[in-house]
Amino acid sequence: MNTLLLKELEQAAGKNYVFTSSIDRELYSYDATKERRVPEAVVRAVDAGQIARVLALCSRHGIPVTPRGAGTGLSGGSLPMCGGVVLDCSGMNKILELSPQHMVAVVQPGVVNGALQQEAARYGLFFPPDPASLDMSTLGGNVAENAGGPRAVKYGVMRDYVLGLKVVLADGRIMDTGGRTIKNVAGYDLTRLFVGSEGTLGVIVEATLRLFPIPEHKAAINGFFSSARAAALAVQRILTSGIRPAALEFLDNSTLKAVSRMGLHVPQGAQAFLLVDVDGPEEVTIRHLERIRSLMMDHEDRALQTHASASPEEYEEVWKIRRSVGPAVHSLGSGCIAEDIVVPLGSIAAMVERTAEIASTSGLYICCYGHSGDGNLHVNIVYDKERQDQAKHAWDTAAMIFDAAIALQGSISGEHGIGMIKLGFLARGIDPVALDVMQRIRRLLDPAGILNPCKALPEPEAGMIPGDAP
Amino acid sequence: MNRPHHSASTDTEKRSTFDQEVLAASHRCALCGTCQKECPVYGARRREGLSARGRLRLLTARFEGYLDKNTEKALAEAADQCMLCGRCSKNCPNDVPGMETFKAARAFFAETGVSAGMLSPRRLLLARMLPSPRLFRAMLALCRSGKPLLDQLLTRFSGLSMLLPLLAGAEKLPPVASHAALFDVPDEVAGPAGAPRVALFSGCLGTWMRPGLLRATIRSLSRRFTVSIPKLQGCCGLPALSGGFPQAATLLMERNIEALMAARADLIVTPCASCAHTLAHETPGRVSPAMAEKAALLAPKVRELSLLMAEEPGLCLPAGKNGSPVFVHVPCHLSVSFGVSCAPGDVLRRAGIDTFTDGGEQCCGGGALVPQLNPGLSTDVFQRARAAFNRSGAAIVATECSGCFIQWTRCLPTARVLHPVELLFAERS
Ligand SMILES: Cc1cc2nc3c(=O)[nH]c(=O)nc-3n(C[C@H](O)[C@H](O)[C@H](O)COP(=O)(O)OP(=O)(O)OC[C@H]3O[C@@H](n4cnc5c(N)ncnc54)[C@H](O)[C@@H]3O)c2cc1C
Ligand code: SF4
Ligand code: SF4
Repeated sequence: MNTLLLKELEQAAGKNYVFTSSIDRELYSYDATKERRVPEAVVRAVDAGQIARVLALCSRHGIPVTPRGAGTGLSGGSLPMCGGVVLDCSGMNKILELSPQHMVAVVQPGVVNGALQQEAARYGLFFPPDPASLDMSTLGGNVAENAGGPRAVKYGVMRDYVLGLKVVLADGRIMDTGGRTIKNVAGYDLTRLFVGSEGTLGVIVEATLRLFPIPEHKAAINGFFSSARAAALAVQRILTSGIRPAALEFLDNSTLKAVSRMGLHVPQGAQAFLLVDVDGPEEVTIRHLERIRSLMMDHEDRALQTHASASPEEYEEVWKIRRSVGPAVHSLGSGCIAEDIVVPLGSIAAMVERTAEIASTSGLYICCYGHSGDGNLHVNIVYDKERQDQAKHAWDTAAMIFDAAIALQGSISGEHGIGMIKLGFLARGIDPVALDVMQRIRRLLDPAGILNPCKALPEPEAGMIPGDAP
Repeated sequence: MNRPHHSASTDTEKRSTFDQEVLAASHRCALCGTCQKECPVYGARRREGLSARGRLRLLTARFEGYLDKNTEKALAEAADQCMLCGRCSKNCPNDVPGMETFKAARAFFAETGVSAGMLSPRRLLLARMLPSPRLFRAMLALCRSGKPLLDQLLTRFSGLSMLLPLLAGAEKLPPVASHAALFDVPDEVAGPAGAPRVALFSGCLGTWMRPGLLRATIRSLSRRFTVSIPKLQGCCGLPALSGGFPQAATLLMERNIEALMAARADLIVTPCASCAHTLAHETPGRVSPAMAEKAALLAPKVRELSLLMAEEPGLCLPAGKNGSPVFVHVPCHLSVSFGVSCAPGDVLRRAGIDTFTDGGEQCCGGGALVPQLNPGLSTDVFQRARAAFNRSGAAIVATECSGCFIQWTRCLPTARVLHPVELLFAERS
């Protein structure tokens, strides 16, 4: 970035909020993908007006702007692939309003999900979307990625809880979408358009979010199975039993092996693991837990053993294996492609089996685990980062996994987003007409192409969009 | 004579051990950001460079050659912007030793900085106060033969002489005595017949600033124990360690081991959480091999006084009705280092005192020389502690760490700051 431009940027953003030292740029060059792209400048976002000035300037000069929350993304969404500016939104972290009466919260984008949970709990409320990163990821990042967590099976994901947004558009205009009502059909649903837009359509500067009353009671049960198929069948039985679990998590054999390497006990012969969480009035959770136990045990493909929680301590104990998966998988190898495909509920067993086949023919160590209650499976392909050939082989294998998910009418990403990591794979899993419409929307909202370029959608072929030079 | 470092190895060798440490940590790090969760400095300002992830990334980038050449000073400052509270290491799902790496970074930059002429005047000042081993050993040999010299030595190398000179608001603290209060109490105070023996490790506050704390501690302990007060003890070494002078810290630690071994006690009790942390967790791995075995024997015997009072109700007196409630600030060196967050509040409540406690979740910004090296950051961290205190409506703060005492006293002059034992064994004037 030349000095003249930098001066203008400082004028737009405020001198104290622009950083260009090699140290400051390095600090905003990564996220949880462990990839590295160094921006030319970092701008610390402080309010909508400042962001509007910065975007208008960058639009004029064609400088890329990459919004960033906490940088916990798993698809490289906050990496400045084309250089330019990283816009750090983490400092805009005020909860502007929490209304127990309307059961909504109005937040700035840098508020950490867990901080909202804490504040809401003071009023007996909670915010259902619960990505595992909730203690560090920001609500702006959660909206932009349409994040979800284990509770999605019962409560849904971010898009189900965003009632309204304030967004700064690429040209510097500030737009309000939606409102604070549960129902609202006045005009197109622009709010939803921005949920999951990965920082490519505008910068979120405020979000109005829906809150729920905290369930009276929680309980959990886990079970070990002798095959992935047996576990997948139990998932089917539970999901069709009339009970809506608050979480339904699955671990395959390779994941269990990784977990047992961390010193956690896995019984002999266990090839798969399920964790089921229920919430509601205590008498109901007790009844549901018992019914789920019987759905796991009283069948031909019965669980080897189950363990249900009877106290808060035991509840944590029942969850322990599931919670240890992240570090267990991370410790397996220097490189890991962490995919998060999603398939329809009835195809979970088929997807797990297909993954096992792909693993055995590829010779790579592949862990498959995740949110079986909503069909979202994390497929982690472990490889040696130092070996170029292995990296390529791992990505080829990932492509096979994506194809398998698509063949089962699923999608290549359930919650982590496309970012730059999966950019090359998007076209195979999406209707070409839909892709064209998306590209046109993007071009309409960001004609200069400054917002998070090289991400989320592949570039349209030259000449395909009216007004573009052929 | 004041140059505190005496290792024979060259800078290049040191660099490579330090870089190895950084790379090992960085290799484990998944860049997941979990360490931001409870980090007091990141929480206060929400800058990536203040989190363990960011700092570790910078040290790695330095090794990889990604940073400009003139960044060493800024990196040294980054290492100084860590409270060394240990929350990142405790919370990391991948066992990345963040705090330990930043402690090593302080030592590395202190050392290479000296030779590169980079050392800030503030750091030089710190270095001046630390013992030169030759002088220190000579004085120690001399003073074993007589009290006055020992008193002088203790005072010359007290932790307070490192902590106070650079501290804004130090005038709000009680004056520092020119002689150690340890010499005003007997070598031993007998407990009930057949009582077990404890060695009292006084800590800098009791020895120089708040003799009342020392006396209250003895009164409490002697209800159940025979209390030995070894006179050869001195600073626990933590300020030197935080300042980036591990060799100097080792000297202090070794002297303390000698003193405490001689007491032949069943327990070692200190009214300071940071001293307890240093004796139990830092000392065994930092003393010479000849001393390591003794240090390992002593470590499991170490108790911070509040914890012991929680275990041994007999150490406490009922306090009588207390006007306003007491705000209990649990130091990081209790909550993170020992995993204890309820004991201090429990002790006071049991004695009939109304309490609010921060449960050890709120660092006050008083540790790791941050108030001295980066006063603005320390103040920012303190804001949240202050807010919690204000919400409680209390007028008294109870806390059991020298650093926390100094921080609360200088930042909140309207409140009285006391150790729980002083609330229970108040000296009536
Ligand atoms: C250990 C771990 C566990 C995880 N578990 C889950 C999980 O269970 N479920 C899940 O869905 N994800 C999970 N993630 C992924 C990640 O935490 C989420 O994608 C999260 O929503 C990212 O939030 P962030 O604040 O870190 O955003 P960043 O990573 O900084 O950015 C993510 C994207 O959001 C955009 N963005 C950020 N702020 C704004 C804004 N104000 N306006 C517009 N765009 C913006 C960025 O440009 C980028 O494209 C996990 C990550 C880790 C490291
Ligand atoms: S929590 Fe641990 S692994 Fe995660 S970023 Fe921090 S140091 Fe790295
Ligand atoms: S030791 Fe404490 S202050 Fe330092 S980085 Fe870790 S959590 Fe933050």
